[in-house]
Amino acid sequence: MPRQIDSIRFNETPEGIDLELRVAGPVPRALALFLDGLVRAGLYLVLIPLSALADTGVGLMLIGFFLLEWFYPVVFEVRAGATPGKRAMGLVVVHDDGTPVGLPASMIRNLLRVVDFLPVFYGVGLVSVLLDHDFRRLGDLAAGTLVLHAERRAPPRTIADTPPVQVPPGFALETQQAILSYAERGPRLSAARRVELAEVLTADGGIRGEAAVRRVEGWASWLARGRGLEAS
Amino acid sequence: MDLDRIAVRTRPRGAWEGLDLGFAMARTWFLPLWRLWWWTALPTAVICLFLTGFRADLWLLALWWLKPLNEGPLLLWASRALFGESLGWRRFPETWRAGWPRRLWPYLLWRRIGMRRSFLMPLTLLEGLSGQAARERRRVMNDGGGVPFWLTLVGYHFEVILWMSLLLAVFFLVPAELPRLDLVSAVTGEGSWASWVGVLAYLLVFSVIAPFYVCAGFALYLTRRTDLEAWDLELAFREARDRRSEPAGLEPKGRFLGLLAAIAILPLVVPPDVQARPHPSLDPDQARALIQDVLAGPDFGSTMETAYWAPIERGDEPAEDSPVLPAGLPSFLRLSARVLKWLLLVGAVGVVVWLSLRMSRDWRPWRGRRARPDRRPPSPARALETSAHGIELAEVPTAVRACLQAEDRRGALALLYRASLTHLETLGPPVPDGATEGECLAAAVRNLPRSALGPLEPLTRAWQRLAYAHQEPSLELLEALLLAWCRWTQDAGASAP
Repeated sequence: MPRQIDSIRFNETPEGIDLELRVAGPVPRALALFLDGLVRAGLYLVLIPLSALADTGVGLMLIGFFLLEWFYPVVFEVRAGATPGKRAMGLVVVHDDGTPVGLPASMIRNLLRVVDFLPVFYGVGLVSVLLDHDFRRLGDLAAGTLVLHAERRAPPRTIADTPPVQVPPGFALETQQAILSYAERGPRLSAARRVELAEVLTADGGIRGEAAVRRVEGWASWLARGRGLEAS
Repeated sequence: MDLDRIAVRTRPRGAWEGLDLGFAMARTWFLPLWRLWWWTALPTAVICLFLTGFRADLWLLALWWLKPLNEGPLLLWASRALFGESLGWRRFPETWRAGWPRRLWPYLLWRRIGMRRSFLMPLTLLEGLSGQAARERRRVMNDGGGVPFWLTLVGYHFEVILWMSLLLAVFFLVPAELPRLDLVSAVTGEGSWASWVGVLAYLLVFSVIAPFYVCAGFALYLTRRTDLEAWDLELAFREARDRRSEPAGLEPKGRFLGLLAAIAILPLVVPPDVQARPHPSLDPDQARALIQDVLAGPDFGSTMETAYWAPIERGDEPAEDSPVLPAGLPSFLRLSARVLKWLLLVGAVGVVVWLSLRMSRDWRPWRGRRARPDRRPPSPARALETSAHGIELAEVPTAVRACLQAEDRRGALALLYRASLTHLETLGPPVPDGATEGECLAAAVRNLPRSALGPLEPLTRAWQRLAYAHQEPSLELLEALLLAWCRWTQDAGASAP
């Protein structure tokens, strides 16, 4: 079976653990770029009144423009891992091994914005993002960086209080995780679908219908809380 | 729908991640999708060309409006590819029939300007609902946020950006001698050939973006369904069920033991008339031959084809023109080889003996180790001792004058300088071992009053010039230095208690 398509880049640590980096594609990145453009335009508007101060003011304004144009992304990426626009889209910039981006890499990827911008409005960058399997533009390729979907802290999930039932032997770790996930996501599934899913596991034992759902939820309860609930 | 053959990884994703999955799908399947797009769009484009009366802008508008017509087959192809079925180009008619159902009409009419087209199209095309049921289903699916809207909006902008980039790239890269592309008329479409270039570039951009747009919408649909129906859980549960229902354990080892057990109990379970009985007409030898025959048959063992490089055999060719040696030569060669061998042996033994003699001469353990030669740099204080003359300080003026008489300026200056170093030592400033002339002078300047330095500084300079630059001092200078030196040593002798 060929490798399944996914937008994940695997990065194996020396300990043999596969880190899953959820690479972000062109649409969220384009929107983040647009938001950053709005923020920068606002900052430009703040700087423009400086030109009232004759030549000095114009000079200061131009220096401000220069700094904004070249260092706005660098400062934000090195300090917080993402520009305001990227933060709003839930993106974060990292090195391609998953470590937080540093000053050299951030400088390189933002200096090469000029190349990605060619011929107009990031045309080269768009083609590169569409072609590359990790959605990297040329600046990312040169600097060795990735733009990822940041891990959002999920609200703590709860499992309904079902009397625990001992899990039969022979369930692999992935299956146990799936059983727990079933109990967590159960309320969002339709009742019929919940039964259908539970019966996949319990039909061999002859358990069907609502009983199957209760059985799988009991397993999840047993996995999550152990026999402690039973004993108390 | 056979979930087990799904070509994408099912996992709960956020909507934005679902979008990215679509872009990954489109990149994987880009070439077939792109080809299919052209096969679908070309006939429409030709028909529209005549219908619009060869007006470039109207033609482009018509093609733009008919985009859903090209997206239907793409979506159908992607939905088959998702479950591992590749619709080759022989099956294009089938793809078109299924990709242009009558339910597609709303997408060409009032739903054309809707901003969730690629997300809702799978509902229409693949689920085949209509009426109230379709409306209900759309409501459920649409609950997943505004990402499909953003996909369409950003997709339009991607098209515009790519189109402008393409035109500008052509504009920049075509040499000045060739006819220039008139960018203004390419964009505004004033009926010149440039406007046709612009329109064709836009058509190309349509074809590039369409697979991404369709797949992204399809992936959003898949993400929503995975969320609503927990496809990933179904796959995990099915896998667990299949693994549990496999006979004789999970591990390959267990399977192997099960096989052994099955072989062992086979005679017990097969019906008696199938069991092996001695064949009456075969004696053991014939049976053995028969067994060999059977074993040699193709049912046993396996054939394997391996490719490897082997030198081409030359056969017997060289034998014909191999040189014929004269009769006595082999024995002569053999003899000389033997002589050479013995010579080498004797030589080797001789070398060993010589080496051991040589080593025993140096190796005298009863004498202990030799003292290391003194490699310390000479102390400036002992300068006079190490000089060739080995004279006392009081004899120095005489010796210097003797040198001057003999026109040996170098000897005179050297003697004078060394003598002054020795004198400097008596005056007291510590001079480190191995110090250079400059360092000696610096140490003296640091530690002695100016008056006590005497002729040291001009003397040092004169010596440095002579020693390093080979500039001989004049006789007058030497006389003056000698006088100053005499005064210096006498002063020091007088002032000393």
